[in-house]
Amino acid sequence: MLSWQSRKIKPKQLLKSTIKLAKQAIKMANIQLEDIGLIVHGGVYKEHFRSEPAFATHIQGGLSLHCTPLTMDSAQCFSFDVSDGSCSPHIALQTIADILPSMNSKYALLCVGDDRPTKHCEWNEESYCFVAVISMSGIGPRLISVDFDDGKFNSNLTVKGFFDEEVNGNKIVELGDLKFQETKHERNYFSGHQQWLCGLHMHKFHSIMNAQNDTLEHCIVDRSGKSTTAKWEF
Amino acid sequence: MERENHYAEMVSFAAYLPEKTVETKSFAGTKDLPGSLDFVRLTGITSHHEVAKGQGSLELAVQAGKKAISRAGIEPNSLGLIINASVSKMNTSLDQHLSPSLATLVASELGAKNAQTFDVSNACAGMVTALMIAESRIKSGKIDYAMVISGEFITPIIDEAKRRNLYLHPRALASLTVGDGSAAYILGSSKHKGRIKFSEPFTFAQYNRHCIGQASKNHIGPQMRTKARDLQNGVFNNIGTFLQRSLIHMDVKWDQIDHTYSHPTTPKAVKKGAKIASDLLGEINFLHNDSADTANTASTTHGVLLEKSQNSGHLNSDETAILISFGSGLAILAMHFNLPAGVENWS
Repeated sequence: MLSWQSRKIKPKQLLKSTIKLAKQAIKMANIQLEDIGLIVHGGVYKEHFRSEPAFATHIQGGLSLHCTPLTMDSAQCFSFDVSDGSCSPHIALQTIADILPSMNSKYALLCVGDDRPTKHCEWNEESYCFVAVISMSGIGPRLISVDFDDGKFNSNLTVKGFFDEEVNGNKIVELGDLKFQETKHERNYFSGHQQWLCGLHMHKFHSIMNAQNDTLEHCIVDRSGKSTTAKWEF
Repeated sequence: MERENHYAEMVSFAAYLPEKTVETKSFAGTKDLPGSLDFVRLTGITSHHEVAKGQGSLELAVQAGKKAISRAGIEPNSLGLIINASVSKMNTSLDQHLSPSLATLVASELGAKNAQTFDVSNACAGMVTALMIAESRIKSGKIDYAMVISGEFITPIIDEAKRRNLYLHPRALASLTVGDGSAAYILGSSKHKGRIKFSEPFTFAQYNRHCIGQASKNHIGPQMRTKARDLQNGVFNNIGTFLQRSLIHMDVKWDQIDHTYSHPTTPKAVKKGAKIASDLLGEINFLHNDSADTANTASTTHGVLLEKSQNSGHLNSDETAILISFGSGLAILAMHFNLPAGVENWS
């Protein structure tokens, strides 16, 4: 991970903030915008529950990155989204690690965050936007592995969007009740609160990353009980 | 990272179409549309399939998944990865599934206890995007089998379009071209190199507002708004160069591709695209453009067409196919692969 940026965002600000942070992260990584060949967004909630196109295409468009007709030697960028509850940032990282080596470009943008879908949705969560420049160069914190554990997955603890006729608009409902797992921070291990959104998980983790000098495990436990653990080396 | 002498191949594929069929002229006749538009003549779509009571995106996907597992002759526990690529993630009440991934629920239904699960969103290009991720994961040697799956319950956008005055909302017209369906692919490890090859993947983000799918703001269910002609031109303006670059990148010869499948927005659009391709590269050996009675089933279209080809006895183990994929955004990518062993004998 060459560079990263994060900030707290207000409703409807995810795209604007992501583009701003992406420009900062690219500058910090000391590369050119045109060097980015892959954009992967990880998150759950999008404005009006947008299902297409991928949010990442709006980031690419907002950056005006390779938005030109194709020629036989023009540079490329490919953009798409991944999602798996709060574990989405780790899935996005893993996906970049999977496919970046086979692409012509050696730099990817990891973008993480959630937007309040509609004004009718209860939104008590702290929403953060997180952007990082990822490369295969080995410079910066190195992702060693991402492991998953679905052993505690509870199919009753899902989240859905629905139309509420009383308010004539779309809302979110979190099904099932659970006692949230609290934040856990030991010397080489960090696990955020189970109720956090994707962006906050990454923001908090990276704020402790700077002080690390050997290894660090970052565990994200989704509301559904699913979890992922990313192992980092410094 | 690619493990030495460790590659990927297509082990099986399957598609499922719900039984109920609806004729296009029953909801898009000349009296229903602006300018007495002959929608069947314009698009080439004569009918589509619609879900039965109790079926949503998940239920559709599971049907295709079960068939793909049976054809692959593996146990669900052998799957190390399941990626769901549905654009629609709706249940029968039109609620949208948000978290965790729909793939998690698919895995539970299929009994795939060892699979990592997540969703990929890349509109109609989602399944081929997910296949690219799955292939990389298999080549890394971390897993032996991966499933890419999608269930598309999208016909509620037809109802939404019908509710609109299409004279005032022509961007809802493309919503009349869709159908429900599902598809699944299983990739497995192989000792043979080159049985699956991908093109360079592209996103032409200058077209990222030409097709927007989201929840209706003041009504239950989803809606889609499309600048269909502009989006189609985005494809046509780039498809020739894309195919030329892809053949070089994949080291594949055009005349040696046995079966060609393009994302069928409409059969008429595929015909136009095929003309551009054949004028530039030569005749297409076998263009499978048989979506007149299934319509555009979003991310699952290639799987649906492959299933129809298999059912018609057109596919053989020693042959190759190319899937050319387009999705809102505008995403364009392609996958060339050897057809699975025994494909001609599947029931």
